[in-house]
Amino acid sequence: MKLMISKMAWLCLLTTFATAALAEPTVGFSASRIKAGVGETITIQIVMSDFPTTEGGGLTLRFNPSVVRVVDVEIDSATWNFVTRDGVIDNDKGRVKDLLFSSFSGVAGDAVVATVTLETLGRGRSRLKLVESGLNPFGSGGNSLDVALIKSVVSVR
Amino acid sequence: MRIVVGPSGDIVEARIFANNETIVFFVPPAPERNNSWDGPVIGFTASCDNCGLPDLTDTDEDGVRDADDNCTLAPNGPAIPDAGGNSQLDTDGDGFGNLCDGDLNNDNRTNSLDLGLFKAVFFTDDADGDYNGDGFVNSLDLGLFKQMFGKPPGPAGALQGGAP
Repeated sequence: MKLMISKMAWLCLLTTFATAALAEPTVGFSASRIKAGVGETITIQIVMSDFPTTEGGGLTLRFNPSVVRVVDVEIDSATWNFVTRDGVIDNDKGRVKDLLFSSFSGVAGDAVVATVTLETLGRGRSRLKLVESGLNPFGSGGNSLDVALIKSVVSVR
Repeated sequence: MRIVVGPSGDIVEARIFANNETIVFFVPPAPERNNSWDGPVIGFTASCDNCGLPDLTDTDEDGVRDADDNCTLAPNGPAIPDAGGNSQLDTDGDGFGNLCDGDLNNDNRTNSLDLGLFKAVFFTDDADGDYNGDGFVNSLDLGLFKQMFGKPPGPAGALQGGAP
């Protein structure tokens, strides 16, 4: 019995370490689903998780322009303190193009990338989709990083 | 050249002297010769280190020998081109390839002065700050810059040791 518990404890420990070691860097949103009424203002953060030390990256945000519009995008300058660009908001095409951010010392683990302020325009659903910007790929030590990008959904009633 | 003849009258060794080096050709004993042997030299050994031949060492294995490589420790040759597919990219023409040249003001040290210059061209297509040659100065170049920070540019084959 004692041996079995000991084995199980080791197995749990190994599983925990293995999971941590295999965790893929992801970039997504602070909420996976948001519900709001028409005419409301929503604030959502773009967040990254499980990153090795990265000097920065770049994203384009896509959304449904008939449901929401982007009022403002602000990159977290406390974290990304080298050179940043807040991106170009285009509410006609439904995108914020090339949010670019960088850090000389590098950022590891979990961090906020940017805060996005949205205004709801009409009823419907808008996916908030992230696409990696070719101008500034996520990198670590000069090498590109593979990053999983996770969507969010805004439902407006 | 000196020919050494053995007790049986056969040629057993030939020595060629050049550039203070000696190349020794030897002829094995008769039983080891085969029927097609028609000359005195069927094997050789060299008693010199390089025998006056060029050094073909290619430390970073990028297809350019160290003596000609503008980054001997960072692969940027035809066998392993940079991220932009370039070989030996050296946009400021100082003899150090971009991939090992964070020294933007060419004072032989990659330091905070270069950081300022690098920051000024960040997110642009400035050629000198584009260390990996992919056409844009971005966080991938920042990662490379950090590795070069505090060091002299290079090393490069023709400018071994850093300072031109």
